[in-house]
Amino acid sequence: MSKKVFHIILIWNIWLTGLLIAQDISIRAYVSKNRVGLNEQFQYSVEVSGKSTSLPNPKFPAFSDFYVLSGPNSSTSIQWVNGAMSSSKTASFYLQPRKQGKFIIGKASVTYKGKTLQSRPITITVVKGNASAAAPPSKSKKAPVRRSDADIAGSSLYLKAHVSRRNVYIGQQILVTYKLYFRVQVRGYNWDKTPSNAGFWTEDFQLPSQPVIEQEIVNGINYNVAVLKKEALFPTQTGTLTIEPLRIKVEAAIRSRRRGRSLFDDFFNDPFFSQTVQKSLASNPVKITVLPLPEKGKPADFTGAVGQFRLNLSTDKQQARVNEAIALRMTLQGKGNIKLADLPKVPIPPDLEQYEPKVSTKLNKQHNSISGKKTAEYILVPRVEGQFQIKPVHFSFFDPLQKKYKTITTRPIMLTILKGKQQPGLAGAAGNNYSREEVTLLGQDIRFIKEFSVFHPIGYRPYWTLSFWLFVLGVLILFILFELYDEHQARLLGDERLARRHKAGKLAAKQLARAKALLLSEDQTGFYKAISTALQGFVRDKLNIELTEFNNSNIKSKFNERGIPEEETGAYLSVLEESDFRQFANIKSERSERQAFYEKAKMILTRLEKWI
Amino acid sequence: MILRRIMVFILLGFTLIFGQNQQIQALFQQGNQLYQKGSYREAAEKYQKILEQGYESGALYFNLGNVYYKLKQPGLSRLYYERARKFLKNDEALKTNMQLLRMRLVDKIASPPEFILSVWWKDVLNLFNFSILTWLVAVLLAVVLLIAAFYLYHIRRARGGRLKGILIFSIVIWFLFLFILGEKIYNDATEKFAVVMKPTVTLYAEPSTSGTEVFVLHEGTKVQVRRKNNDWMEIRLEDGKTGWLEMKNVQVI
Repeated sequence: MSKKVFHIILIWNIWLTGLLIAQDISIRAYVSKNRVGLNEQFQYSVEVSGKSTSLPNPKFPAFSDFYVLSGPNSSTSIQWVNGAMSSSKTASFYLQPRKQGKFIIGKASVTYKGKTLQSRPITITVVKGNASAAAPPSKSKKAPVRRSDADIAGSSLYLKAHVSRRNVYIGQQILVTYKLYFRVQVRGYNWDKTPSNAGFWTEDFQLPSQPVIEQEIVNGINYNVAVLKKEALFPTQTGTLTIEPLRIKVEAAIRSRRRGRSLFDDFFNDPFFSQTVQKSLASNPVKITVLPLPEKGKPADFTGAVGQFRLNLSTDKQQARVNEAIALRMTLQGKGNIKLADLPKVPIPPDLEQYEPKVSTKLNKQHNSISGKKTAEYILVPRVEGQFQIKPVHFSFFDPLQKKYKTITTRPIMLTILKGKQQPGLAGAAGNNYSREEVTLLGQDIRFIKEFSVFHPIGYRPYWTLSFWLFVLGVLILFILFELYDEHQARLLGDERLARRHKAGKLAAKQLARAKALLLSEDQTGFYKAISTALQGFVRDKLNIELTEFNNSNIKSKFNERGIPEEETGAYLSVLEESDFRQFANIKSERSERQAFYEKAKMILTRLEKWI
Repeated sequence: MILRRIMVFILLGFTLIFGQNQQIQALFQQGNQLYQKGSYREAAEKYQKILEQGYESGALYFNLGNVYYKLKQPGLSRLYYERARKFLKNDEALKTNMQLLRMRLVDKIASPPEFILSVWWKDVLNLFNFSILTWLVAVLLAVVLLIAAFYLYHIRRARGGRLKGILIFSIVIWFLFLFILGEKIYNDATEKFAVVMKPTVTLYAEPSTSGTEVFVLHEGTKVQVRRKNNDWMEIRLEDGKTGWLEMKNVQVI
């Protein structure tokens, strides 16, 4: 709480200048007390002020109910402030009442340039005895006043809260002005307690660092008035709310009592002769009735803005190339609870890439209402060429003065996007395609649920199931079993072949022995058959050839595999052929001839045995 | 005697599982009807009941993801979609829904471009789900053994190596699938992911709130779990950032 000291006289003078510039001439009448005792005297003053040096003299009212003790006593003052001249002429009377009761001192008037101006009449209450003694005791007894004085008690110093409205809608601005009224010299003041005002959103107005002193006549008494605090309250809840009192501590200078009351008192009424006392002051609490906003006609998009607003939507250009940024600016401007008003969303076409808007709020706290500007700046980057429309934006608010809802709509904005300067290959980068894919998905909803399901126990892993391992195991066992069986089968088969091979020589020898026996007989067919069987059987057994596969080419290839020379093969085949031929062709052969053939076959078999 | 007893046991087990399954199916259908009516909260309760009974399926997780998507709970939605992904490989609907969900998430974590071979390998891994792959390996084993039996049969009878090429080829194929299955099992056991469940979670440089704040994650973001320390978990993002967070802020997939 900073202590503010202000210099009354200087500022008073400045104020007077300002007033006189505003109006040519003015007249005011005031008294030193409006409640006097029968034996007391009081001062009645008429002040004419203006820019002119030759101010006209006022016409005084008749003082029929009072004794005029002295007057009119005139005084004139002329001031030059910042090159502007002002002057005032004051005529004062000392009056004393004739009897008890209520009396009215009529209007004083002045005629200037053909116009007559009048002051207000003043009501004086005359009581028996001494008025100051009869006045109700002051509430401020607890204040650390070293000595009490009649001038500081009662109404010579007080604080009042002025409220612009007592019945408001929720969100409507109330202007609260805390004014200090004083008739004594005030040296300074301290903030004691500033109201918290629950249920309101509060904005303080900017005031000059030194309060401006004005003059105001209240009930005929001239007061100096300083505006200490000015704030705008916006109720945030309905019902009856109270504006709490503002408390300050004032240091006031009062006259020393040593001096008797004389006509010259005022003369010595300066700081040098006075004493300083402290006094606590509290403003009056004010009840405010807050009405809810009407439900009737409330727009769907209403978000709680109350006041008078304008909405503007604009872009920095109407034409741009692909990938060239466009600035879109939305401005909400007006009087009211702008800080609490939400900016509407701008429906931006999905083909324009959009970045988070930058929102800024500027409040203007001058004059008597809070106004301001809320700005949202969007950066749009077009990704494809074409014509795009930014659709109108709507904003709804409640106008408390007209008591109805209003909706403002911006104009649509057309944007023309031209082909980008970049090469098409570069422009269609992967990132681009991706964002376009996302944009097309924006309008979609998720796919519908699955309607059928096969459930597994939680934590089910197919490779840990019995069926899987049984299957694998089963397949392996089957394989092994088969292999074991097949191995056995194959071995048996192998044995058979081995035996056949071993027996081949024996069987051939047996057939040859039979042939030798038949050599002596006449059975030619039998002889050749035995030879043929010996030759055939030997090779087939040795090489494990089935009868169906026993033909010349097969024999040749088999013999070749074993590395048997060609002439051996040829000899074998020719003997075999001859024996077959002789066996069926009924040609007589000599015994010696058969003997030679027998020897030949025997020799071939002996030679083959080396190879196979 | 023993064989007969085992058979009886198996049959009994089957009927038990089948009976329970019917009850689960009923819950599932009720959940679906509630979803269709738009009462998503009640549908979620029905689906959750199935999980409480100890059963799961890809479709169940998919539906739960949908329910929480509708209830605007991106964290839970992501969690169940990710769980569904383990069962439903290459599911068109799941891919679409996850993409829609990802657009609603706050964190957009750009993953660095991957090496093309690793992308292919991942695609191969994702080609089959566990059930199909496991049975494929089993059936392929049977085929390999069948071919091997034929081959050995012919070899023993000293007849041609015509089946040799086919046998080698089938063995290579079988090993390939076995390797894929092994890789999947290994990944499943070691790679853990989690989803952020709180609207905003601060990550620290060390497992303590007194550590330096590294970055902030938002609900629905998927992170890879690296290690745990008391109530803290070290995670890694797709773009390589790592940090510690309190375990209560995430749910493991």
